Order: sequence, then structure tokens, then C-alpha cells
Amino acid sequence: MAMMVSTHLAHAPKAGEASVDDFGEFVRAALPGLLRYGHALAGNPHDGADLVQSVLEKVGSRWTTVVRTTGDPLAYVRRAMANTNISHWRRRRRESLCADLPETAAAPQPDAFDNEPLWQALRALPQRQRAVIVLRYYEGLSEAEIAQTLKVSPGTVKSQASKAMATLRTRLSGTTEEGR
Amino acid sequence: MDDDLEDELKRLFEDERLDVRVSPDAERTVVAGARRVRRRRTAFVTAAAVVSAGVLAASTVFAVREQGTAKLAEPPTLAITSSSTTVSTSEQAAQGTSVAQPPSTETTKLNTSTPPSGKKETTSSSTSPRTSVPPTIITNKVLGPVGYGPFRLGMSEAELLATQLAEPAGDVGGCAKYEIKGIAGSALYYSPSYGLGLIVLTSNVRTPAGITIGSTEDQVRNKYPDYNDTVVSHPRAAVPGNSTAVYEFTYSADEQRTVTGLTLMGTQDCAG
Repeated sequence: MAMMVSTHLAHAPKAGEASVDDFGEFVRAALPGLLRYGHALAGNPHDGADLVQSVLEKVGSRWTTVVRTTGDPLAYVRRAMANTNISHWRRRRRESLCADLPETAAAPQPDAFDNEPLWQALRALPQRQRAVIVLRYYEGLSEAEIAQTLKVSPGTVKSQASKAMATLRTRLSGTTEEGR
Repeated sequence: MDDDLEDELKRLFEDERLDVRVSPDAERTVVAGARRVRRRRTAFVTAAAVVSAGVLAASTVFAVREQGTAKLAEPPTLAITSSSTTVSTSEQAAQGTSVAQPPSTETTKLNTSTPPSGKKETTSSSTSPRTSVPPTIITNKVLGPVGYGPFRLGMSEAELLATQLAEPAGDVGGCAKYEIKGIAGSALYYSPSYGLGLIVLTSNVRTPAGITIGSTEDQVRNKYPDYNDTVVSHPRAAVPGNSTAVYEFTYSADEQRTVTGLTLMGTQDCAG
């Protein structure tokens, strides 16, 4: 759906006319997937929604440029999310994009995954390592593609991935032993 | 063992519990937010246009680019009529090209403000004429308290372009990234909401206190008593003389932990 939007735009020279609707249309079509992806990246649905909103607002403010220069705005948004989540993104509470979460941050909402040892282990990873794992196993990107996305060397991706996998393995075996 | 964990990860990421229910207002919220961001940027442009003719040269181009960038807000006052001749202009502009003399099809407001300087540096890879400006090495290497060379935290994109030292390097997290000409490994992050928010140098740099590439972490600690290495992203320290900025430090991965990068970070919301 989102791909159709971008293809349509690429063929519309007077994109200025159509872009309001098209950005809205893009948002509508892409939001469920992006919120899910944000949940995986950020580690909880609320921060994930903040991340989605913050990236989409900025991308939307330059929408035609983004469509023209990237060709695939959805992929661009997903990559921007991965990068934004890693380092300088400041958590800012804002109107929530998700329907069923309380607005107040006072009591952290238990995540549906809270009893999932692998999810907990994943959440405990450093941001960068978690991003590599999410890009690898959620997005299905290769090491080279991950390196390009995060603007680091393939060697860094490899070492972050192996560190992350080792940590996950250790934490999981610990949990299993404790559980038994 | 490896395969088990990989399978488990894939299964986890396919789990429907990762789904997040979308609020009915979500689309409207985002579109309105994008409009707000864009309006703030348009305000920057308008303000910059008053400053000087040199800045105006860049800001008019910026306005051209914005015209192509969706009518998310009310059309700016510098709006350009859409015609077959202006389409190519806005395409060039969308790629970061700046041509100081607006085409004759622009509005009268643009025409009357023709800047005195000739062609500005062009960065487009396409058909537009390329005027080469020799890369200027910034000889004053000092990063902080408010900027680096001609770059100042919070400056508008128009002002940034007017230095003619910023080379577009893509978009990151909705912010525009630039490299400083002649300084490899440098980066400027321009936030539509906050202006120039981050200045990153990995060479040709020192802080007023004398920390430079190759300094040790102990030296950093000595020079910056409030040095804090417990933050998630990068160790940081307050910037003496600028309470709204911080330094961030990156280090070599080896045991020496010498400084490999220095960042001056103002108010911002960009990706790293």
C-alpha cells in the first residue's frame, strides 16, 4: 500500500498539490506496521509510539523531498526510526498514537511481553545491540545492509551482533536454570 | 544453539503481541504535527530573509524547495506558481541545489530580491551548472562554547547554507545532515524544530580547554569536572559558557580510550 503511494507520487510532477493527502494516506497505511516496529525497537509500545510520531512528523514536514530523494519513504522512515532510537532521541511524552494505553507515565504500563524471558533479555541490551538484532531478525536485513543503515562498519555490526547474541544466550540459560 | 536462538528471535518478532492498536486520531495527529514542524521552519526562513542579502540568497532557494515539500501548511508568502518551468527548479532545489538567481517565473517578490552575489555553490548531481568553491579549511579549530567556525548552534538552515561550507549528506531521523567541506568525518545535524543542533568533529578540532582528538579520558575528566560517563548514549560534560549545550565524547575501543570524536550538542531532536 505504502509502496503504491510512493510510486504514485514519483509519477506526479506537481506533487505539491497531492502531497497533503498522500502523506496522510501514507501515514494511515503505514502506521500499524510502524507502531509494531517501534514497539520492537524501543522495547515498549509507548516509547515506540513516541518514536514513530517524532520521526513521521519530521519526515512529513519534508515529505516531497523525502519521496523524491529516497524513492521508498517507508524504508526511509524505518531506517530513520532505527537511527533515531539509538542515540540522540530524547524521550518526550506527547499525545499518544496508541489507543489502549494510559496517557500518564506515572505508572509504567506492563508490557504484554513482560513474562517473556527473551523479550526481557532483548530489552536489557544496549540500544545499539538491540537495534542490530531488530534489523537482523525483524527487518531481515543482511549485515552489510545493517551497516549501511546505522552508518557503522560491517565489522562493528558483526561484533555488536555477536555480543548481543552471547548476552541473550547467557541471560536465557540463566532464566531457564532459575526457573527449574 | 545459534539456530535455536535465531528461530526464537524470529518467532518473537512475529508475535501478535507486538501489535499496537492505532488510535483513531493518530493519522490526524501526525499530519498536524508535520504541519507544525514545517511552519516553524518556514518562520526560520522568513526571519532569515530579513537578515542580509547573502542569507536571502539561500533562503529563497529554501522557500522554493519548501514549495515542493507538500502543502502541509498554508502556502508560504514566497509561494511560487506551479508551472512546467518551475518543476525542474524545485527538483533541483529538492536535491539541495542553490541557485542564487531565481528563474524569471518566480513571484515578483523573489525577483526584486535578486542577491548581489553570483551563483552559489551547487551540490546537485544533475544538470544544473556547478560552480566550484575551493574547500575552505576552518583554521580556528575550537569547538564551543556556541559553535565551530562559522557554524552556530540553533542557526537556521538558510544561515547554514549561506556559509557555503556545508555539504548535504542526507537525512537522518527527519533532520538534515551536512558535512563541513574539507573536514572529513565532520557532521552537522539541522533539526527543522530547533535549527542546527549537533556539530560533530573527528579531526581538526579542540575544545577551549584543550581537549582534542587523541586526548585520554583522564585528561577529559581533569578538564571537565562534571564529566558524566553514565549516560546511555555517550559520556558528556557541560560546556563552560553555554548552559544550553553539552559536549559528547567518543573514544577508541582499545584500552587507551583516547578521544576519537567531539560533539557539541545544543537543543535538538536529531538522530546521531
